Amino acid sequence: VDLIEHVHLVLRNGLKDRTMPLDKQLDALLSGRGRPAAPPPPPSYWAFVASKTFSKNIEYIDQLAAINPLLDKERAWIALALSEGTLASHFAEFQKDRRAVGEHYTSAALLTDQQRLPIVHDLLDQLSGTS
Amino acid sequence: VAVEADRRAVCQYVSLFFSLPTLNRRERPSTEETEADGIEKQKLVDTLSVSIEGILPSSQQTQQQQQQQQYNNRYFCETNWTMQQPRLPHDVHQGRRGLD
Repeated sequence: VDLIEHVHLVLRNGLKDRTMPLDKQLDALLSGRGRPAAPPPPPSYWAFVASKTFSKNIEYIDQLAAINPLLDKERAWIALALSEGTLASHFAEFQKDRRAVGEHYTSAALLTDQQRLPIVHDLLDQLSGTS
Repeated sequence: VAVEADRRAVCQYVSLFFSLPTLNRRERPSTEETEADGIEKQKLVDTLSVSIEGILPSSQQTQQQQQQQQYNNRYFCETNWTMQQPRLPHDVHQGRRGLD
């Protein structure tokens, strides 16, 4: 469980914030143009990893998340990749596909860090034979 | 309905007020990597490393135990095989000589 959480934090690091900037939210409220709304959801990498996952596995993750309310799709994706021993290969793919990574992550993210990302991959690669 | 809308508006103002200190950080250009970013990333890598190391020794220990068990089994078989084998002619000859 700790490992899932740590990988989750790695994947959340440096996600692009797609919500309206706070200063613009404040301007909109002060000028009366904005309406009170629910707080925006935190940035998610689900769309990013889902784009690199087989549809069969996405359906399985949907089912897992539906059964267990404590397990969201992001963590369910990590759990499935760990159980299949494919997490390292996913990270290898992240290293190659910089364009897709750049769409979802800032240049200050761990997934765009060309020095640290190979280290993360090597660490996860050690798990491939133990799943 | 109006009271509820006012209540939500107040909550939103308060929420935004407490979020103001983070405005500068959010507006920072995404191309810039600060020292804090580097420290945070290194911390993530270190934490992940510790987490994985915590898992690996158990599996390696299991493998080591399996190897030890295989060695024990082989040693047991080889020992018993030697004991159950008939004596070689050379040994028998030596034995007879000893008896003689």
